[in-house]
Amino acid sequence: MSDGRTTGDPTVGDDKARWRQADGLLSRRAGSAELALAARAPVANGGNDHSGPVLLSGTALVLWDLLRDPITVEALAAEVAQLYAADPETVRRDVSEAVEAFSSHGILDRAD
Amino acid sequence: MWTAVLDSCRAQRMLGLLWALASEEGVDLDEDQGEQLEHELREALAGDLIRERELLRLVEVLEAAGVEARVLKGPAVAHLDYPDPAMRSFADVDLLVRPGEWDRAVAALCGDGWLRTYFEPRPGFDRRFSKGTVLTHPDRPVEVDLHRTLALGPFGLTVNLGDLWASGQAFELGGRSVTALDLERRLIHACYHAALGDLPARFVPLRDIAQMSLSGGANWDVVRDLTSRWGAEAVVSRAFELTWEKLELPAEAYPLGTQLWLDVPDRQRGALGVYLSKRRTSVGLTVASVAVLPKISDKARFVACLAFPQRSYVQQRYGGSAERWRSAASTLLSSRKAARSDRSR
Repeated sequence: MSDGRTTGDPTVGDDKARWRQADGLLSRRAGSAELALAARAPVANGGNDHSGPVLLSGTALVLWDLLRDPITVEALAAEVAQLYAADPETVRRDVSEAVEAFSSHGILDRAD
Repeated sequence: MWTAVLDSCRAQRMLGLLWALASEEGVDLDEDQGEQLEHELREALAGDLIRERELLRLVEVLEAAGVEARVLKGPAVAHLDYPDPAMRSFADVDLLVRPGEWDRAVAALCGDGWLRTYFEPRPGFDRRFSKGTVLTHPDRPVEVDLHRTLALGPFGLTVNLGDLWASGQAFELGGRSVTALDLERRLIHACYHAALGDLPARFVPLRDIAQMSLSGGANWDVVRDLTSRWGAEAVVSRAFELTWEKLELPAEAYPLGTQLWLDVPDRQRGALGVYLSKRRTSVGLTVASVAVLPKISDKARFVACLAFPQRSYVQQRYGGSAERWRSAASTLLSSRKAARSDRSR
């Protein structure tokens, strides 16, 4: 299993980009967490399909649920900041990193 | 006690069921136990997802070679028969291919880097007589059980392979559709697994039989007809008996004699005895297999393949010709010893 940290997708910085859970995911609800694995190895990993599923728990799972429908990083951050009454700028940075990590594991797609 | 429960559920691939029991039925676990279970469950499910990804890849490799495959056992049952696939873990990937496409399937997988665990005794043996073959890959984390039929030995040889392919059930996996056996065929396959597999029987196939039987979806007329056509009344009867006995299921839900009527012929009892005997050996299964082959030419071919296998098979399986005969003599001696012990009991 992976905690999702890898090198990122340059398009994550695009504020207008909308993201959603990738098609063709393999997933399981595992107690209070969810496991997600791209059915095909992500191109970002150079075709390496030996990486394990991404474990989504806690805030990552909240983000993951919000990503069922297409959403921008900015909107995601706003939702999370409101949910946790946290500093929007800090949340924005964390959300951006998470989206980048999800994307590099092939479990997130650009919606447009 | 808790460690034993956890170990047992892990070994029987039932961590998901234990989790469901704990979270939905209010079974009390302390904090440590809950954390331990969740950790184990995540590990098991991560493995399942990796195996599912390999399964999809294998199906694509076979499709590219023009070979259609049916998904058997774990992944199919998990997605089609359990309320949540997390309740049914599995350890490998099982695929069924048609005998007419067997050689092409094996060639396609070997071309993709998969290696047979054992060579076949002689060319064409697997396509005509074997249950299937196991393949592994140096760079891939799963083992593939490529099936031609549902079981080793005589009960595998009497399965009507055309019937196996006459109906299927599709399910979605990783964004694409794959096909499994239909419910009735999956149920009978679970019976083969339960009745003819490990001794004592593992709980996994028993749980599958219970799940499929009690879902209310099985057409018992179809189960009976297929069981009879495949000469498997002894197998299915034993599997249901084991399931109800081991899982202590309610008698009123027992299908044998109420929804499913089966007469077990004596010759099937004899064949089943070979699988259940302590002296279950490849020799015993071979002898019983010859008895069920309908054509003299098939019997002769079957015996010839096993009596005079190609050198690569002998080398890989036994390490050489002398070792093969030593192993045969040792099997024969232990069989006779076990037979005497069976008789004295």
